[in-house]
Order: sequence, then structure tokens, then C-alpha cells
Amino acid sequence: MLRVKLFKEMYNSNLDIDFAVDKEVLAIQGASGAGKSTLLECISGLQIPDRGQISIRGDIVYSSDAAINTKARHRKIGYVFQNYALFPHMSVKENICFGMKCRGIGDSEYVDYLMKTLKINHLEKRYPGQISGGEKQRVALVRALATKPEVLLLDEPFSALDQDTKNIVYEEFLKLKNTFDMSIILVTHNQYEAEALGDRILKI
Amino acid sequence: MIVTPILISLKVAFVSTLFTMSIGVLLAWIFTKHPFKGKDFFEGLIILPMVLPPSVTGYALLMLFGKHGLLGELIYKMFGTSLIFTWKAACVASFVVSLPLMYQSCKAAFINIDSSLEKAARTLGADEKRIFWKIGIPMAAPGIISGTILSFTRALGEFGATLMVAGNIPGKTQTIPIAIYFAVDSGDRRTANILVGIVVIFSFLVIYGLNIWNRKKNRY
Repeated sequence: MLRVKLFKEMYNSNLDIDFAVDKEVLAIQGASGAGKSTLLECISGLQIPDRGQISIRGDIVYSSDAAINTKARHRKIGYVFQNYALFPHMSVKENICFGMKCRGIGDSEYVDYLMKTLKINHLEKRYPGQISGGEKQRVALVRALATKPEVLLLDEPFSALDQDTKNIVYEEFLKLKNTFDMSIILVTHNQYEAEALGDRILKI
Repeated sequence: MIVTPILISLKVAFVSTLFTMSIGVLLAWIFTKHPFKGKDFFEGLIILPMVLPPSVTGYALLMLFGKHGLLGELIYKMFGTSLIFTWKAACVASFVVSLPLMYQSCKAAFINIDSSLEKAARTLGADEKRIFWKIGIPMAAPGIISGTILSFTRALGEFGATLMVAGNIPGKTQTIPIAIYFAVDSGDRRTANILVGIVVIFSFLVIYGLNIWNRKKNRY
């Protein structure tokens, strides 16, 4: 379970939020500038909230009262960025294995399973510049899942895709969300996407 | 007569570029990715030799590395020798004047790296060392390479500061630019013409090659 209670001052508004996610998809919906990405960066440890507490499976990773702030690399969180943030100088396979090498995980069978499940096993030698937007999105998802995270954060992962690709990926996502036993936060500005993919919706 | 200054220049440029490259890359990474209080002051010190007259840089180095200078005294105590009027002093001068070029080139390359790549690496479990070697260096490679080439050619052409700290000792500290100056001064037009020709052709080829390579480098 992921528990988040935090406050962060931003340029135009303040982010003041309190929620929990437990092995479900929580869709967080809000307009641009509402602090959706800031929230994900605070959860993942890329930004520091002004105050509050964040815990993953009971382990406190951030607490302003107890002065705890676990570094991003030590939080077991998978993060799919809006622009996918694939390393352009690494092949698809190298991208996927990057996190596993960092964390000392050597489960190549799991990588093969993920790549087959998300139908990207034929792309392993290609570079991010040589694959389509939908394929990049899947590679980013496999890269995040390969480190076996306890929480998966998805920052507008479908916004860069055309409508036809979106429809295919939505279906795949719905199939996949039951396969992986983890808490997922999906950030989106799209009302339809939030309703279609989230078990619950939180508006900010 | 003609070969020796070329060999000394190449030796000085090669050694100084090794230091310029490693220190320039490291400084640019730290200053770009890990800003700290006083960063602007230290950045100003790095860039300063680019805008100062070479004689001022040379004089400052002479004060610093002279027998009674802050570093010169330390070196003398530790090694029982002085850097001044040796080829090593020419390396120091070349390093100081070419570091700003290397630094600026690497800084631009590091700034251009999409910050989400570093963020992604962090969430995947990478520490700062791994981000530097696996993301920073490969992504900034074109900038690092062009900075290195420019630093090498700048070191090869360094004159003013080198003359002040290394002097003009034929066979020891006489580099190509210094040899040209004294050849002209003594009326030896033949030596001056040959050395000028070599420097101009070499520098042109480097810049020309760099331009072509820059046009073709966008592989990502």
C-alpha cells in the first residue's frame, strides 16, 4: 500500500493531498499546472515536499516530522515519464536492463516474459529513435516493471499517442493491470482515460 | 631547427589537453548538475583567461608558480625543482588558456541533456556516478570531443602566457608560435614561413573536419 499525505507550494497553486492506493489503479485527474507531475516526482523522490509523509508498504520514505527523505534510487518505484525518457544511446534491451543492473537484479526470464507480454521482444536491438510512439511507451513500461517495483507511477503515458494507438494501448493496459500485483497511479488530464482505466479517480 | 618546436608543441598540447579534458568535463558536470553557493564566482575564474590579455595570464601564472609564488614554493619544497622555464610550465599555460573552451563546450553539452533522462535513471536505481558515466558522458560525447579538439588546437597555438612562464629555450621550451616570433624577429623568413604554413594548414583541417563531423553527428 502507498500512503501519501503531503503539502508542496508551487508557482500558481499549492499541492495539498492525502490519499492511499492499495493494489489498484488510482487515476489522478487535473488540469495543466494542477501539480500532477509534481505529485509523482514527490512520491518518487525526485522532488521534496514542503511537509507531510509518504510510506510504501509501511516503510516511511519521506517524513518531514522525522526528517526522513529516502533517495529516489532507493524507493521501489517504477516511473513512466510523459515523454518516456528512453535513453537514446542505448538499445531497447539496454534500456530495459539499465534499472536491473543498477539494482543488481539478474532475472532475464522475467525481462523476456515482460517483453513478450507487451509484444516488444522483436525490438530489443533497435534504438529509441527507430521505434514508434506506441512502441516507446511499451518499452518505457517494461523498463519500469523490470525492476519489480512496488508502486508504478504513470505520468500521462498515453498523451503522445494518436487515437488509434491509444485505443489499442487502453485495451492492453486493462488486461495488464490485473496481471501485475501492484499499486498504480495514473496521472491524466483526460476525463475519459481516467474513467476507463482507473479503479478510482482523484481530482486535483 | 624546424622539427624540434613542432615536437615540443605536440608534447605540450597533448599533455595539457589530457588535463583540460578530464578536469574540464568534471567541472562542467559539477557546475551544471550540482549547483552550489559561489558557483558563479568559480565559473568566472575558469572563464577569465579567455578574456584576459595573454600577458596578464602569463604574469599571474609567473606569480603563482614562481619560486616564491604560492604554488611554486610548495612544488619546490616537495620536488626540489621549479616549473618555470620548463616545458611543464608551457603545459600549465596551455591548460589555463584552453580550459575555458573545454568547459564551455562541455557545459553546453550537459545543459542540453533532457533532464527527464537523469530523473528516469534515478528512479531506476542509478547513483550519481552511474548517471555521469552511463548517461552524462555518452549523451555529451559530441560536445566533449569538439571541446577536446578545440582545446588541443588552442594549446598548440598558445603564445603569450607560454612565453612568460616557459621562455624561449630552443629544444626545451620553444614551441611553434614562439619559434615563429623569434624567427621573424631575427629575419629568418624561411623558418617562419614553413612553421606558419604548418600551423595554418593543421588548424584549418581541424576546424574543417570538426564542421563536417558536427553536421553528421546527430545520430540520436
